[in-house]
Amino acid sequence: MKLSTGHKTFAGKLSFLIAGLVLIIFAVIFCIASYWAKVEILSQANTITHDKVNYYASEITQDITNIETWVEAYETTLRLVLNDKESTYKMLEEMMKDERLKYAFVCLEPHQFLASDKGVMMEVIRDADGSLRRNQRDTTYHFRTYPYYLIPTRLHKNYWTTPYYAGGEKVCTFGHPLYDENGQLEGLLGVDLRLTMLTEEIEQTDDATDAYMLNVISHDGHYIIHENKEYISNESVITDARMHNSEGLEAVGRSILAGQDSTLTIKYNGQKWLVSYTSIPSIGWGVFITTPYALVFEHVMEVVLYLLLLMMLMAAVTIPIVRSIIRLRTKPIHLFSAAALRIAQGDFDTPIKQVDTGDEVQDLGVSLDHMRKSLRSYMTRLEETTAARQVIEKELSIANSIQMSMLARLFPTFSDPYNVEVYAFLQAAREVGGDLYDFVIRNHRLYFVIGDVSGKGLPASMFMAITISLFRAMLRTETSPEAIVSNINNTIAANNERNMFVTLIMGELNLSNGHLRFCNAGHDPMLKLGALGPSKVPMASNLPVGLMENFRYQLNEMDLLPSEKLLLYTDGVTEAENLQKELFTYERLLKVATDHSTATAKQLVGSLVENVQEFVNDAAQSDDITIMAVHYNPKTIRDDQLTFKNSLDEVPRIAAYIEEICAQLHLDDATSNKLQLAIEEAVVNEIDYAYPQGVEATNTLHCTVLPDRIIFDLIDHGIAFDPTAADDPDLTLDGEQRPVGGLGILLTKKIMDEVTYLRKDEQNHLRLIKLIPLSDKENSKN
Amino acid sequence: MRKPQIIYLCTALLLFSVATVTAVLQHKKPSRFVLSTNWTAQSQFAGYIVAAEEGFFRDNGLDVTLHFHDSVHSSQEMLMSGKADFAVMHLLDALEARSKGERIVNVLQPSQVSSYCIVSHHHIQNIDDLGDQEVALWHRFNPAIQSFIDQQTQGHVQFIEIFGGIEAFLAGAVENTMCTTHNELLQLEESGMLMDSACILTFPEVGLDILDDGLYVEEDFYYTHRKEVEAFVQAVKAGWERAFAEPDRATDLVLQTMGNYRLRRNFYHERRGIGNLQKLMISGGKQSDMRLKESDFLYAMELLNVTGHLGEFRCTYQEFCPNLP
Repeated sequence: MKLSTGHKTFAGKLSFLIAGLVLIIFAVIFCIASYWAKVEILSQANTITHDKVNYYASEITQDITNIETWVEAYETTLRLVLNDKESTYKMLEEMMKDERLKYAFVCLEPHQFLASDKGVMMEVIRDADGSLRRNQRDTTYHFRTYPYYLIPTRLHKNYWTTPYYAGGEKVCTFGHPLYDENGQLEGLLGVDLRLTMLTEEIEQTDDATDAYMLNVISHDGHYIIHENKEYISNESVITDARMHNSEGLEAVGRSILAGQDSTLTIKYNGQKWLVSYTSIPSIGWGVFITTPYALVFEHVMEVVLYLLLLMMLMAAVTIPIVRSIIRLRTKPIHLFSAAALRIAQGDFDTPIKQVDTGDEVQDLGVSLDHMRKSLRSYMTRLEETTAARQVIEKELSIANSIQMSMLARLFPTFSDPYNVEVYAFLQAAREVGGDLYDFVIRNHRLYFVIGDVSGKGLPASMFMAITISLFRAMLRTETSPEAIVSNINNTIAANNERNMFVTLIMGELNLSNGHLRFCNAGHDPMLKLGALGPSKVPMASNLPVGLMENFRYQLNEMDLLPSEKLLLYTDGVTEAENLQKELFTYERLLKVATDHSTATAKQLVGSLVENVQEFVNDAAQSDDITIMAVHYNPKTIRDDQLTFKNSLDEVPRIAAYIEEICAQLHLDDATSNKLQLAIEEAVVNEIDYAYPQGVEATNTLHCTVLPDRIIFDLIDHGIAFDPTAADDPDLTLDGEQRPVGGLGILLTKKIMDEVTYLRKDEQNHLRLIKLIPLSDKENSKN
Repeated sequence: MRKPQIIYLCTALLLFSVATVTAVLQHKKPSRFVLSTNWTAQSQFAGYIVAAEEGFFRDNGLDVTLHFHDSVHSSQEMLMSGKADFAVMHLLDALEARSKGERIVNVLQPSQVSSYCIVSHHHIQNIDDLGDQEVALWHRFNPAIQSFIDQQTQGHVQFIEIFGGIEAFLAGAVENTMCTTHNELLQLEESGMLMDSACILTFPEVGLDILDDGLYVEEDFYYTHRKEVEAFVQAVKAGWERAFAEPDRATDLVLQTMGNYRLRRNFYHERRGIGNLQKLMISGGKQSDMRLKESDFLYAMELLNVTGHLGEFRCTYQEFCPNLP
């Protein structure tokens, strides 16, 4: 194990976290400050630009008012000289002393003053070189149709026209209508204001023009003052906005033309602009100044940048200092860590340097030292306990060896001179277990037992040893299973203070004829695996051994046919658990038995063990597992078969086959005749009923001769028909009253010792068994 | 010098002289003509300006000078006084001039729909709605139309003569004003006025679909300069086609011309004007052949008749609109 170093140390990680936190805090402060600064600057810019735009509006209004006053002031003088052309021109020239003017003119209605019947228009023009020139328009010039004359005279008030070109310059005309004392229109006195002069004059009033752009529009939205001189008179704020896809500017223009004032942020020409605007209601003009956003926030961005740099500098200085402090303060932790590592490696005497910090670090040092001492004490006790445990384990190992040695290991096979194969498997859940099995072959009989002691461990193992010992001891004096089990029960129950018990099945199999006698003491039933597959052997269930003294155990009996097997097991098999706490169950056991019903006893046990282990997988074994299989397979005297068609013509051939069997077995005539009669009846019955009329089929008559019996298996593929299921005919009735049929099978049943029927694989199987006491000669042959 | 050499020299001189004379005779100067328009330079005359600026007149062997309205002399006056060879005139103006003995003929009719409309500060649905109101009309506006409006309103309308533009209307000096859809109507909108279609009465929608600008020449001139007239017409047609195909370029040329006359000029406005003019030149869903149709001629004659401006004058379509290829 290595100790952490560098940035992986606690100090490093803490420093990293603090540095991150500091940077985040700085970033948040930076964002808030930037936002606040932006809002504040924008607010101030709004105020400044709005003040500025009002200032310009005021300046323009003053200029305009001056001109209006200037013109109006000449009205009185004009009236005195209007009958004299020369004087009129002189007066107009006097007005033109104001260099901002391009034209000064007077229009007279017909017959007014010196005017003819078509009126007259006299004007003084300022030429490009600055000189003044007099001009009188001829009668083809219809001044009354022009806006500068038409509008003020129709509205009866002074009027400023929209900008236009006049004499090569952009001008706005001011018209002052003249009325006599009766209100009769006499004409109009007007001047043309040179817009270039107006622009220059306004621009001279303020020197901070770099920061923003001044725009003045007339009441038709056309520019009167604009940074781009080409825009003056030509462009309106609406066309300007549309040419630059600026909805904001169009909104500003409409707002100004509606006489409103405000400050807005707009997009124009791909840039953001701050626009402050107002209107001049007296003449319908509007004034707005535009300031690039970038310019508004130019200094803000500088401040923000400095703030950012300052914060980064602070972070660069603060973070190493914080890191050093943390490393210094956490140095004891590193020492404790190293000491803890040595303790973990078994050095319980390693010194732990105590610190006097008065905080959790000091507590940690004290706790660590306490832990070291506790561990040292614990390890000492652990060593002692381990030594004692090793002694126990050794003893248990010996006990296991002893227990295992008590189990029968020499399993009989068919190569032995017996007609049986036995195989068993036992696996204890702990060092020693409570399951048991045993078997003994004596006097051509197999005695076997399988059992499961209540509880586990050493007590169960001792109980198991007692049970096996008693089983073997009892076999010396008793052969009947119920007597042996009863004796074992009485012996154990008499001294069973701990109320332990054992479930078991004990059996005796006559190897000569397959007759089985067995006694079940509360154990799981065993399975019989025959030609028809596995099936649970029906048996009386008695009390387990050891629970009640003098209990009367019932005996069970049955016969095993050649090749049939017995499968016995303890509940450790069916209740084996996997990691998901699922049980192996009887159903799985039955499936394994079905899949391996034709295997040998060893293969059957091996397959079952393998399936259980695969099912359990890595789960710990919770109970002892014991499995035992007995395969009975005596040597047969005869084993062959005859196939025949479903025709009565085949009866003689079948009779000859039976006769030949009887002759081989040296059966007496009476027995032979009965056997002949019984088989013929069964065959004829099959021929008559197994198939529909006219259907040809092949049937089989299989014969197996064992030392004590003849077994006939009659097999056909006909329709399902169980002759044994029908009620026996009432023999008390006379022939006419009794229904037809049933006598043949009744006769067969009477002759044969056992008649059974089974429908398997779409076939009818009728088994006929006849027990025959064979002659000593024949027995000795086998 | 030997005799054969003198013969060769004389022969060469003779051939050179013949070739020179032939070349001089073949290289004629382009014919010089003046076109007079019925208003100041603007997109309304984009086809003529493009034809001039892009060299279509020159390519057709013509040297054309454009003379835009100078606020004093009308195009009709220019044509009749011989100061112009071609004149852009309103159809009614041309017919009235002819009725007064001026033998002018229509050689091109680009506009196929009337561009005239009346814009009001109030809602108007019919000409009747103008009764007891003032309507601003352009100086020298066609008297037949005035008469028609007068008839429709039983003489209760008062006409205010304005030189042009929209300022009087914007300033509130008049309640109603005459506009064209390709110029003044756009100007109103570009001056910040929120346009309400209920306040606009277009001439076609009240059945007064009198065609606007056409190209006119004197009848004698037409028959004596038929080839030149044909060449002129072809150049103008090409000018309009180019203007519609390349409106931005055409707008630049219009603005350049307006600049020469120191007129208020605005790209956005003139560009839209060309777009609207193109709509006026569509006939039957496609670009027109720019010929005056007999039905339009007869309709104009009828209007002149019902308004009392025709008098004893009679003129056939064929006389007024001689067949050009």
